[in-house]
Amino acid sequence: MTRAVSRDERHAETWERLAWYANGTLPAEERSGVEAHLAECDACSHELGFLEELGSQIRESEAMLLSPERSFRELTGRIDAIEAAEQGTLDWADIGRIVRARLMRPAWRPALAALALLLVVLLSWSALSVSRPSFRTLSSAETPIEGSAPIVRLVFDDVATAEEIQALLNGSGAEIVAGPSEYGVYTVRLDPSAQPRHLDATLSALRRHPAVRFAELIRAADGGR
Amino acid sequence: MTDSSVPADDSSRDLTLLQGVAVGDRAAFEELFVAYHPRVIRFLYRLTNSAELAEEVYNDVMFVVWQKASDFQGRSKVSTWVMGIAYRKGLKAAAKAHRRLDRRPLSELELATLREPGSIAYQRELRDYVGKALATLPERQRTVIELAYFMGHSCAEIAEIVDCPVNTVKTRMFHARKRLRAVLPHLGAGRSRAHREERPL
Repeated sequence: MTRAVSRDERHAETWERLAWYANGTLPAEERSGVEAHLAECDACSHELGFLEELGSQIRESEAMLLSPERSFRELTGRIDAIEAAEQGTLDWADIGRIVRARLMRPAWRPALAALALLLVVLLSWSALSVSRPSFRTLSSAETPIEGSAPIVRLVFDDVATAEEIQALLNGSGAEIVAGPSEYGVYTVRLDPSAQPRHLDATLSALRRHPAVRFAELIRAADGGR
Repeated sequence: MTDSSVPADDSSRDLTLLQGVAVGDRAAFEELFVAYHPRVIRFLYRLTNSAELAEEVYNDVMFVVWQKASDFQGRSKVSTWVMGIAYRKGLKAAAKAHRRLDRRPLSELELATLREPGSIAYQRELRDYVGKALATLPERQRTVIELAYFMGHSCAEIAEIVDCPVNTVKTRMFHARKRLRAVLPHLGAGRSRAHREERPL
């Protein structure tokens, strides 16, 4: 036995079906019921107007202006390369297509940008290394200096005269054995007969001297330190 | 029957093209690629909020179509099958790229600034406003609306595309309509009057 459908039930049913009636996909067997109800229901008629206008506005929204031709070329390039790989006939052009297809993906772009930056930094560093002057730091390996006398590195003040420097070296029993480097660093051998306990005092005296800007021991008398 | 013009149903053409694709026909594949490009790209754009990503995902979708065309059983329309692939790939890509269309509330001010009905500027602004109203919807509800009103899919087809029961699609459609009605209260008022006037006396 078929139960009679109440007006409220018919309204609720139509209300739901209107969404599909409005886009033209409601099955034919359900359309006549919807149309019969629409003829007598203002609310459903109003809702249909709303849904039709909504659909119209959505369909007329701006199209994406992207070229399918370029996308298709990229895709067929990818397909060719993959098929060549499967058939064992992959050549460098195919590999290039696969790499390009993968690397041109937006998801890869930040990583590629970071890699490019790293390369720039490395190349810059490399270029700097090539042109860097070959001066030595205090910890650099030193060209062996014969003997076991204490060795210091000295930088003299710009305004120090040759006489002042010579007087200072003579007074300390020191002798220049190398330098100046590009940066004005002298390698100086101290008096080999000086007692080790006097070494600190000699260094202090050098550092206090107005003609000296920098003095550092790089080899003690025993070659240790 | 409604006067709204949904996208043409090209089922038989699509099936012929897909059969060509299944046997490696590049010309058929290109025709199918070009035919689906505008609507699927737009759908993917709404999912991913990125034109670039939409284009990339579209190529992935069509790559699957090329590879799996011979597996198509014809139990659904070609468009439903393609949109199902697009939906899954689009969601995945959006999640991976952390890109989703922002949900923004619409202000009363935006609605109040709409120009006089009937003018070209009004139509443009109304379309823009409807776009913003759609953006207020949760993603799943928005997808149902897009598939129904932009792509012209039926309730059963949408259930297949998004892989959920028909009743779930109906529920999402119900809530989407309710929300849109709340922010677009006067939309379609002119059409409603036209419907009433068409009634037999």
